[in-house]
Amino acid sequence: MTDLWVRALSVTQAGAVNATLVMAACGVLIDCAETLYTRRWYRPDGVFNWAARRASYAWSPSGAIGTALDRILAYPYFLALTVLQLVCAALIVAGVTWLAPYAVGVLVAARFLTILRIGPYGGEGSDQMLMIVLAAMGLYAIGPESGAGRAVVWFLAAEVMLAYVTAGAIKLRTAAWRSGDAIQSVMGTTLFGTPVLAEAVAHTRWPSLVLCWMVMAFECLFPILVFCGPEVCAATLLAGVVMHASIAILQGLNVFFWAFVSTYPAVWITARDVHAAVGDLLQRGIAG
Amino acid sequence: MIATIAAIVLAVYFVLSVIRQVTLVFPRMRAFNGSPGGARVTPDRAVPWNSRLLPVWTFFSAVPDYDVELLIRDRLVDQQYTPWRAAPYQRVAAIRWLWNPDRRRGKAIVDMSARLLFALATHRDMTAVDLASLGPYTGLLTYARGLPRSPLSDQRQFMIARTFARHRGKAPHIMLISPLFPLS
Repeated sequence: MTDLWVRALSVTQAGAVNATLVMAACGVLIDCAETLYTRRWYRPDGVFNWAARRASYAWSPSGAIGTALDRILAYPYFLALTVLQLVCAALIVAGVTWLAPYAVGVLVAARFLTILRIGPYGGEGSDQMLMIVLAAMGLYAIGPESGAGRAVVWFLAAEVMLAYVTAGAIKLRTAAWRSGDAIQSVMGTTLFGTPVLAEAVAHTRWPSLVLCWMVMAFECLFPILVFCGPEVCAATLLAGVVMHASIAILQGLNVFFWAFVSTYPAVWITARDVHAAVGDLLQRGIAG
Repeated sequence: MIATIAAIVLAVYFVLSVIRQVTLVFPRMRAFNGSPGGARVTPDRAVPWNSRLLPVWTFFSAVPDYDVELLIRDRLVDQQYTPWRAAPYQRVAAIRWLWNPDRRRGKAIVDMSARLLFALATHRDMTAVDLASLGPYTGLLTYARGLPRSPLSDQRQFMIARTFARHRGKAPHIMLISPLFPLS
C-alpha cells in the first residue's frame, strides 16, 4: 500500500460524505440565490411561468395534488420554496450538524419540486446530479454508520462513472467531437461559450482537436483510471476538477462544477475500498 | 435492515439510470451525427412528469454552433410597425464561473426555440390553433409579451433567428416569425 493510500485511509467515510454534502449544498445555495435574483422570470408573465410549465406535462395534476402543486409552485409561493432551500443549504455549509439530516430531507423534497417547476425548458444536468447526490445523502442520514453509508458512497461513485462513460461514448460517435470542431463551435456561442476566445484561436484547429480528445479520453477512461492506484486516482480526480472549473469559467456553467465535483470524495473512498478488497483477495490467494 | 433497503433502492435507481442511457441516449447517436443542433429535441409535444427524475448524461454531445436570437417588433395603434429589436436574454457576467443568474433564462429560450422549430419541421400541416397549443410557443409568447413596450403598441410578434460567431462568416438565418398577438 502506497503512502498516498495510507494518508487516504485517514479520510473517513463520514468525512468524505460530509465533503460531498457541503459541496452539493454550495451548488444549491448558488442556484437558489440566482433564482431569487431573477425572480421576475418566474412571474405569470415570465419565461418560467408556472401555467405554461404545468401545461407542458403529459400528466396534468388535478384534484388535491394539483391544488397543492399550484400552491407550492405558482408565483410567488415558489419563491418561499426557494428561500427554504437557501436556508437549508446555508445551514449545511455553515456546519450546523445537528440540523443537517433535517435540512437534507427538506432539500430532497424541495429540489424534486424545483425540477418539476423548471420543467423541460431551462433544466440542466446539474439539477439531476444535485438531486441524486442529495437523495443519496438523505439515505445516508438514515443509517450513516451501517452498510447503508457504504452503499450510498458506492452508488454516487457508480452514478458519476455512468455519467462520464455515457457522455464520452456518445461524443466518440459524434463526428464534430472526433474532428475537433465541437469545442470550437460551442465556444463560438454566447450562451455556452466564450466567443472572444473562439475567435482568437479560429485560425488554428489543433487546440480544439486536442481538447476534444482529452475530454473524450477523460470521460471514457474515468472508471478505469480511478481504480489504477492512488496516484492515478488522485490525478484523474484533479483533472476532473480542472475540467469542471474550465467549464464554469469558459461556459458559465457554475453549478455544474459543484454538482459533479461533490461526488469525487465518494469516488475516492470507493476506489480505496476496491483497492483494499483486491489486496485482501490477492493476499488470501497467496496465503492459500 | 436499513442497509438492505437503502442498497436495494440505490441499486434499482442505478439500474434504471443505466437502462435510460442505453434506451434513450444511445439510439440518438445517429441523429447527433446527422443534425447536431436540433437532435436534442424529441417530437413529443407533452413531457412525462417523471422524465427528469432519471438522468440523461449527454453533456454537449449535440454541438450547438449558433446562437438563438429572439427578436420582437410591435404594431402600433396606427398600424405602423416598429423595427425589429433584439430581446436580449443573456448578459455575460465577468464572474459567471461563480455567479451566472441569466443561465437558466438563456437555456430556457434556446430549449423552447429548438423544440418549437422541431415541432414545426415535423408537423408541416400545423394550424395556428395547433401552434397556440404548443408549450414552447406559449412560453416564448408569454416571454415576448412581458417585455417592455410603448403605450402606443397594440400587437406584437417575435422572430427566432440563428446567428453565428463572427469568425465563421455565416449570415444569420431567420427560422420563424410568429403571428401577431395582442399585448393587452
